[in-house]
Amino acid sequence: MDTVLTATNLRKVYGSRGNLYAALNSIDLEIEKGEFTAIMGPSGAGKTTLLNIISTIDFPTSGTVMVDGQNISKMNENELSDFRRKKLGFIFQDFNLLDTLTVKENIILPLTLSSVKHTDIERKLNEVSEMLGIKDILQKYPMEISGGQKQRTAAARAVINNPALILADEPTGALDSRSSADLLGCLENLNKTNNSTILMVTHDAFAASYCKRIIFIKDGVLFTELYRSGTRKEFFQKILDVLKTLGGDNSDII
Amino acid sequence: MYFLSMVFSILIYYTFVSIKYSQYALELAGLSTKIDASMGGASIVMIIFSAIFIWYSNSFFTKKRKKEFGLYSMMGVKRRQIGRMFFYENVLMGVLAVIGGIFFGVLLSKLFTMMLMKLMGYNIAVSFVISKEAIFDTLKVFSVLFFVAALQGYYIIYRYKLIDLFKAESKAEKEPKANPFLAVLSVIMVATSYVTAHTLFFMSPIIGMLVTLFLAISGTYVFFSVFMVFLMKISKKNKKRYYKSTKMIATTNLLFRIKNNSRTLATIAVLSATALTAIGFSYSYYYNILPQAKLTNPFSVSYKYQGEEFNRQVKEIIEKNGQKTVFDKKISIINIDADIPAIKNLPSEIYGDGQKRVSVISQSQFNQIAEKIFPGEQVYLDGYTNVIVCDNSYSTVFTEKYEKEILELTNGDEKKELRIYAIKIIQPISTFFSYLPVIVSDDLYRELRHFGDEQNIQCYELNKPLEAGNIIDDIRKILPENVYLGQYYNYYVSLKEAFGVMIFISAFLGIVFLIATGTIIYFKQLTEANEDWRRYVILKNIGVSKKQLKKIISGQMKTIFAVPLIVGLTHASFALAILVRVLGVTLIKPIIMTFTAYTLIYVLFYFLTVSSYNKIVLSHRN
Repeated sequence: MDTVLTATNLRKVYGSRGNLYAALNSIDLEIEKGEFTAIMGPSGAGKTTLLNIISTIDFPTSGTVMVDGQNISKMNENELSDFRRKKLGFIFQDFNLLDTLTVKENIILPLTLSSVKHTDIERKLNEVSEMLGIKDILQKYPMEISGGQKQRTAAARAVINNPALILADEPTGALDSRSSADLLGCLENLNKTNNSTILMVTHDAFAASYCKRIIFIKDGVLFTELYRSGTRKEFFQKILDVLKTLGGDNSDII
Repeated sequence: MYFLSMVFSILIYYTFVSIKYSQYALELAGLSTKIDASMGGASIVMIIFSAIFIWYSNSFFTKKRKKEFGLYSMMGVKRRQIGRMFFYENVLMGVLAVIGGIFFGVLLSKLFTMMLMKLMGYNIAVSFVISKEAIFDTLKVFSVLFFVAALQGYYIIYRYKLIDLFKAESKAEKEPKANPFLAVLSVIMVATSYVTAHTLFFMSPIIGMLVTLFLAISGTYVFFSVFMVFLMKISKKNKKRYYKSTKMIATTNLLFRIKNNSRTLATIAVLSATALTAIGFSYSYYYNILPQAKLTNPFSVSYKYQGEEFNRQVKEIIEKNGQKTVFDKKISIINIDADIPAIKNLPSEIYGDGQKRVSVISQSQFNQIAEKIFPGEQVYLDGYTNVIVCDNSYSTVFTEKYEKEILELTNGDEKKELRIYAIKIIQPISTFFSYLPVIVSDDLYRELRHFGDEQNIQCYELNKPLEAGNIIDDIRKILPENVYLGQYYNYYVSLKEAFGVMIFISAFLGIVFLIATGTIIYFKQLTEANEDWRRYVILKNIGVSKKQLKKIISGQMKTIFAVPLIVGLTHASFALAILVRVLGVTLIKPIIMTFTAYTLIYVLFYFLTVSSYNKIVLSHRN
């Protein structure tokens, strides 16, 4: 199997001299193609920092990140933009849709930026909108659709350019439980049929239970890992058990 | 920025008022009333303009800070306290602006007064004076303006409900709709206004002007609110281009921006057009003072021939004053009773002493004059029928046309019919000594000698004609009292005085307009940058490079700045085109210079806005 993401000895230190705080402390991580992985951990464990570094939005203090064989720590600003556009797909907690664009325009945005031929654009749009069940709302504006639909739109935008890696930051954070289940079903479907590699940060055990693999981090270091076996219900139970030993803020686990 | 514009407005107002009260201006007897009246008018325009500007920016800033006020309210600060706080803030800012404006006004008033004197053609040393009346006047006017503005702010705060204060920036944006019918109508309205300006205006000026202004202004507003949106919606239809690179983001962003700004942009277009027309108008006049002055008197000095002895004395005076003559000739004309049956009145009847007469001049003598005074206007006539009329009041618009018509000369019972071959809008001989000048071939001239009385006019042109004041005074002294002295110098000086004041005022008002409108666009864009930065962060996150973002931003700003400017320039050119037709002179050069200067300042504002916009948007990381 191909390795999509390799992070070695990642450290991220915040603060200035004398008052240092390590958000990440020598993290090693490998993700294979076609994996659906969740990163879990209590607040302040460094989940978001890790995701930001992988997203190239933030930079590590030391260590390297290789995505699809490219070392992102050595890229300049322009290369990074190009890289983000071509190799990564993003799903954010607050959707990050442009309210001046229609759903359709939001989805095809990455393709237009890469100046793909417009007939190809339409074809791709058809594919992903069908897969995510948002064909009927393509002409609407983000203001006019529900949160679940917004997040599915964002997911469509994230996958339309066939990225090597899809990064999702608390994708269900702003959704009700029904929409969450819908969205996670979609992501699971994408992973299965498209063989998309998805890396998701969440603190919601229910959301994590859709994944194949879960990485737990605490205080900036890897704590443990879980691979899915058996039904989702059983997996969910196992996640809860790990979280219990992890401690921290579990109040919103249901 | 707002503060600076305010200081600048106050500075200009102070300048106008201080010149109005200025001692030198009053000392120049006869002039003072002229300056007084125009400066007074200009300062009233300044007041009105400042009032609108203060009112606009004040409500704009207050709304921008709604959230802050909402927060205070939530923390339990009483609304009255917030209102009072804001009131004091406004008052303080007003006080500072007034102090700053007056301070710089006092510092620069000498410079500005000197500028005015120079424009009016005076070489007077201006000393530094602080005008108490002007300071008092400025204080009074702007205190009232700022006080009202402060009250308005207080009122805005007081009126809001808490929930509104928090909702200030989360307004729902829907895609604007564009009615194609209205879009087309707006273009038709503007186009029609251009047509009526050139047709209806000349039939009945008042109705024409009202109709034109109404069509142009309302057309401009509809143009910005509907047509621009319509245009961009059409551009969205072309998928191939629309889906190219950053085009989609740029177009949709602009679509929403134009919708939110259409009224401001239209106002700016109209204001720019007004300012440009005013500046262009007075500048053109100022530029054309000399040709204008020469239109009735072509020579520095001319008088009815008084004998060679007198000429010698005149030349002595000229030399004594350190000048030389570049033209020195005795010109002969024959005054003959005449009529042009095709028109009701001869121009000399209307503007002269009411007699139907013409003054005939031979082609060879005219060409001698033309060579020195009207280069390139030389004529070549032959035969006995074709003649050329010189009519300085001729205009293809306002006066009756008589080109190619018959000119009848009469001497008692004797009659001669001539054909008017062409009309020249120049005056070869001072209107003091001639009726309507008619150029004829030398042969015809000899034949016409017995038709009327021949007169000799002595004409001089000096090498420094604009310093002829002393020479003219001296010649006047030796000239018999009943003999006219033809000269353009005095007329030139008085025109220069009048238009010097005009150009001074219109240039300053124009600059104030320009800076204020530029500031308004600047503000609006930056507010939007502060509201929209999230959009750009999203784009950055999904992989739009900094360079592309900058391109999107500068592209947007280009449209926002360029469209009102272009519309304003177009309006102004059509307005000034009327002027060209009325005056019958070419004003291309001064108009182009005005337009260029205006555009340059605008471009400066554009760069300023783009760089601030970039700074705001690109500073956000997440």
